[in-house]
Amino acid sequence: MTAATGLAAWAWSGVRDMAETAAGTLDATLNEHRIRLAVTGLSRSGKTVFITSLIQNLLALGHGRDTLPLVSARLAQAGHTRLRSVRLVPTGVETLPHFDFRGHFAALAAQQPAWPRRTQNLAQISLVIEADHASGLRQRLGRRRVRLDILDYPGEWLLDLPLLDRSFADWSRETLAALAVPPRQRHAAAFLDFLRAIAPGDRQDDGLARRGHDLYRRSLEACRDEAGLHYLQPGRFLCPGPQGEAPFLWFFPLPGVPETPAAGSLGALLRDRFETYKRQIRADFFDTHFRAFDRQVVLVDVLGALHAGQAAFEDTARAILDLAQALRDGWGFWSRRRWLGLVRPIEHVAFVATKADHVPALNRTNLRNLLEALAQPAARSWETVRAPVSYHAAAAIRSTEDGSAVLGGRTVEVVKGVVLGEDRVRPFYVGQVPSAVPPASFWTGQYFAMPVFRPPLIDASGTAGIRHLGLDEVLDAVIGDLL
Amino acid sequence: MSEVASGRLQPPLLLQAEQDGPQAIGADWNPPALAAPPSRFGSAGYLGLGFGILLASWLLVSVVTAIAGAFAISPGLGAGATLLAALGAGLVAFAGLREWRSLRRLRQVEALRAALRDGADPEAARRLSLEWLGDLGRHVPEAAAAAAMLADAADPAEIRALLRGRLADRLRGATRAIGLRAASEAGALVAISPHPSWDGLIVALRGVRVIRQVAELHGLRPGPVVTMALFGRVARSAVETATVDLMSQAAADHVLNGLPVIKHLGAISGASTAAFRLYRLTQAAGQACSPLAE
Repeated sequence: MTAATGLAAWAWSGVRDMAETAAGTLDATLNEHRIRLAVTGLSRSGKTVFITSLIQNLLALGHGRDTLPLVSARLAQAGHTRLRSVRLVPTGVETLPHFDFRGHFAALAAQQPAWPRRTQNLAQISLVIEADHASGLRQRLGRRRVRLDILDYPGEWLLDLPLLDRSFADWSRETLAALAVPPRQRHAAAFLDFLRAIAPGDRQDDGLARRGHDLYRRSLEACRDEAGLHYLQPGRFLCPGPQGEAPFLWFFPLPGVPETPAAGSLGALLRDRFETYKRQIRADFFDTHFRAFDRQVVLVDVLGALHAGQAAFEDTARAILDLAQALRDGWGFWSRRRWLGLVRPIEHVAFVATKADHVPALNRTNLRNLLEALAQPAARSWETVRAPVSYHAAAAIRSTEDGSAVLGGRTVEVVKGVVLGEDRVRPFYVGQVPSAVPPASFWTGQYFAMPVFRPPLIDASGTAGIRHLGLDEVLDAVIGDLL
Repeated sequence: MSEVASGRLQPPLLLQAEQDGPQAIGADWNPPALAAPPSRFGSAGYLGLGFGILLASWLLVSVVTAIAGAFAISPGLGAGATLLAALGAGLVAFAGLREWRSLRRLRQVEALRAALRDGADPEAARRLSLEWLGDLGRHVPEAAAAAAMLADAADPAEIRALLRGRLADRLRGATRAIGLRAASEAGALVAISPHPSWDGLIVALRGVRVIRQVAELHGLRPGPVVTMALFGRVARSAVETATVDLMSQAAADHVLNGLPVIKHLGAISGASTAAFRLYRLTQAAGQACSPLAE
């Protein structure tokens, strides 16, 4: 009897385990959809703010507040919502740092609110949207779960992507050609002077390499901070990440360097470091984290580029084009894997002109159209692989409201917001936003730094979400079909 | 294109602050509530309510008439009838209050489950957890220790981890024990029941008791209304969250019932089915009653 009972227990547990595993797989197949959402964009385009607002507004939606009208309309059925819950996925054994959503939200909702600081490292966060199936039959099989894995990272790193397919000689030639014209030329004067004193065939000298690297990096920082430029390589020179400074980073573009510099020369040392850099970022970042995304949001601060002048605008356009092509084609080995059909294609790409709250309502369509004109060459490259592309003008956090003001005797449309550090609303007239890539006559040569408005009042409990502009449109375009 | 061709009309300009303007933006942000699922209060509900009102008003009129009649006979009889009526009304009110408190407790458990799952408001999660632990402490001694640790928890995820670490196994074990006891009792009763038509009744009655026991274990106080509400939740839990488990158990049951060893252990197929059903009901009730479930 004891043996029989033991056999029965053994049979029970074995069959049960097998059935549970099979049923778990069936449940995941029927009800679960996992989406890796890459929120990409150049530095200061607002990736961290976008992710924070997206998460908080989705959580508030899960609490029953209609913070994202287009998304809730998608979830509506027979006059009520199919949405059951939205929750953050608890951390497990991930090796990536966790996106500090709570910290960013707390800073934005504080009495003295602050925008997130420049992102310095990779971070990931996941959330699950749970809703009833639309079909009555499938409702019997459980609830639909859409898991969103979202990655945040320094925007500077993204521009290393076009670097991966270039040799040191090619990269040096292209970079130095760009440095030779304004406004880069002005900010890189000290570095260019330094280059005149060295040659690729000089004996390798670590002190010389370090000195050249420091000067080059300072010129990149000046181009970024003073001229508003984005196309600055290598990205780790501006944002080294958690590893900090390592000797393989100490290189710089060298004029006249051959494809194969002589052994023991300065050119060979810099070439070796450049190749090590490429291997390192490929292994640490691109192959590891960028390979598997399904849908893509590309954030572009069109307005900031427009007002930073012609050079900054053209620099941004070039950056977007190169990035789009690099992201489409993959890099090295992965492009061949795509050809073999082993890599899933991108399912949707959304270009978003951020900080649309700096533009009054009448001009927002122009902003969207300008973004489309700017991104068209890049978008075409995606359309060739049949990824749907959409364009949006949005503000993940809306810090202004529309209004009017009298300027030069005439009434103009403005936005009104509280400038960070001040305590009163100020109207901001953004000027004319062109609806297409502007001609040369448009540019005045004046640089205008966009005002930084204080975040709006945000309910610290988070239940009301965050005031935004068009975030629901972006989200609906990117994941609406899954809900 | 015309605005492009004409060039920029006016450069961007940050104007002077408005002296009488607001000091902050965003006070108007107040997203409306989502449309809630339709009320289940359909025709049957209106019918029940109507009959309830008719019955209550008939009772009220009858009682008032009876009291007035008693006073007409003699003041002493009237006073006695009034006292009895007041006692009856008081008991009804007391029962209603108990039901209301039970329902409130059920709502709190649901709110706690949502707070722990969504992780949006740490203070709400902590407050609701402490309230739940206070009720749970009547059956689960470990609840007091868990409550003491909650003060140091930083966020809802940590609170949930603490509660799970301290209580989940204990609750699961106790739920399982209830399920096994109910299964064996129901199996034995079905095995000796004189007619198969009694089997369903036995399982149903024992099922109600199982749900009440599991609810009490999880800190709820199930009166009739809450028990009915729990039946709905248990059904949803079985369909939505435990679909997989039920499917796997069904497969396991099928295979297990087919094993010769089990067949010859004396288990009668009807009895074993009743036992399995009650055991599964207990598991689903545990899912429905626990704020720690997903």
